[in-house]
Amino acid sequence: MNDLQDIVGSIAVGGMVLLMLVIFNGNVMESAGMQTFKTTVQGNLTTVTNVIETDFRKMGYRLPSSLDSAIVYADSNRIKFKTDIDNNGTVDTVQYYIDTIKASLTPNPRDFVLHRIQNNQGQSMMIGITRFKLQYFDASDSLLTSNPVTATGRIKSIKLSINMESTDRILDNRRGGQLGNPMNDTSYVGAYWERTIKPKNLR
Amino acid sequence: MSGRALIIVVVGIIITTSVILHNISVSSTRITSNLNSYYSRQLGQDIAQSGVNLGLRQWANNPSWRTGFSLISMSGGKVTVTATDTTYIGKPVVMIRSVGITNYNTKDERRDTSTVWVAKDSLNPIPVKALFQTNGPTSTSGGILMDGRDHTAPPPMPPTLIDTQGVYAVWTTNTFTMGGSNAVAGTAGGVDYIPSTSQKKRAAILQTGQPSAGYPTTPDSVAGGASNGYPEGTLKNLAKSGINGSQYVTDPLTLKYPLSGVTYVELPSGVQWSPALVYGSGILIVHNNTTTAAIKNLSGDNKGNDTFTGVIIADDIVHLQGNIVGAVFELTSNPSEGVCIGNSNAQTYFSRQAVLNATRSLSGSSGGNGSAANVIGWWE
Repeated sequence: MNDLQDIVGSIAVGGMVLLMLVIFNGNVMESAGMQTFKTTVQGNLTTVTNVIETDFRKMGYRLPSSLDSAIVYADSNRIKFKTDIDNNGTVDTVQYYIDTIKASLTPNPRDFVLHRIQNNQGQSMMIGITRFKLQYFDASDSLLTSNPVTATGRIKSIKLSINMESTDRILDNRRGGQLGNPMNDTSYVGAYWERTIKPKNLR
Repeated sequence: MSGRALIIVVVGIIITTSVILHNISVSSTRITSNLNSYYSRQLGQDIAQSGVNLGLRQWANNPSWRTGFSLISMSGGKVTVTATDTTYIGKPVVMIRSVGITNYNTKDERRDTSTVWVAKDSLNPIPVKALFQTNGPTSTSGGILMDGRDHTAPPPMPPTLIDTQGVYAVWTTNTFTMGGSNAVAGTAGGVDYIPSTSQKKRAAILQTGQPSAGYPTTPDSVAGGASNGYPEGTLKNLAKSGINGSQYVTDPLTLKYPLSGVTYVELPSGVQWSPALVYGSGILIVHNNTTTAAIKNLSGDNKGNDTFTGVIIADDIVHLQGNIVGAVFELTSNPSEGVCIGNSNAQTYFSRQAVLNATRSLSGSSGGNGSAANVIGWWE
């Protein structure tokens, strides 16, 4: 009788220990997944901001006439400007804009395609950008409110805000609270970046 | 389940968990590394820009400075600054290049470069003998004011008088005849002569019959020629370079306003630019190889843009009607439509400051502030 009690007790305790280990292992795997997604999103974000900053800082470089504004067109989600982007003596045209159509090739329903066009040669970035907002300021740091900006020659600085999310859902909505997504849909990992850039050649 | 099996399962779970935890750790390290990389990039750029500003300040204090700085400490990193003479869009400049270095001499060393091109003050002022210099018979009508006394550059308009620093009202190789209610003023021998309608009373500031030999026939020779830093083609090349808003056109209707820098209008032989909308600043040139490019009925837009500040050089000037502050040169010895250079109620004033500003603006030393005033290009 005592032996039977020992066996039953051992099975119960062992089962509980095993269950705890399984649950613990599940949580650890979940954390690992989230961490991987965060790494990807933040890596993508710093990469895309690096590209944009590098281009924006060169805005207006080597333009022969100060009468012509370096910025050809500017609205809240599109900018087109002139610069010698590759420093070869020829002035290029660079354009950034975000599609109004969602990026259907990714599972994330909110992300857009960011386009970078250099002299009619385009590159599309489907990396989970859910917001790409441009704001323009004049020499006295006053916000230019017209959209699109009518007098682009007045633009002296540009504030750029980018929201980025993972292209894939990591958790369902019930568990999403753990992710801390700044865009409030907690089923995707998210990151936010903003910066005001003052291109030196826009004098 | 036997005890042995249970032990195997537990050990397996522990191993699996350990591997996953290791992966989490690696992922966290990557995130931190990403942050560090971003920080290093920003810091490197900041150091590079600080180095450029250091160089600009040094250059502003001493334009002959070319020694640069080698590996000086700044903001936790190092910076190397070089200064070299070169050209930028065809213009002689000093290139100041700064390399910001973070994590110097480590495996994570990163270098960021910032470069500026600084215009040299290479253009000398245009020599001026009189408010109006002409090479042919010249007359006036209407109520034009020709004030050769020195003035500040506007604003305000009319400009502020500067005592005894002015020039003649007219200097011509031929004749000058006052007409209408034309008033002239000027400075001769250190004495200012207030506006008067009497040609006889103002003979001292109306220099007629001057030697025609050597009278300039091109805009560059007006500016003093090669000996003054203006070999033939200089002003046209500056206009084509677009510096400070310079423009070169063969059709004046394509000009952009307000004018600035060098505005070079090259008209076909015998063609007039009439009426000529002129306002802004800088150097306005209307010229062709046969010295027959004419500007007629020169005035502003009657919407508050009625003044040109700087130097006007034209082959043939007919009926100047707008406000001019600076100096005017006419090259032809044979004006196309009689001799009336100005009429209406034009207000013309000599301004040494305006004449100097006309060439300084091309050197990049006017406008702006601080050490960045001469910078004409940034690369970072």
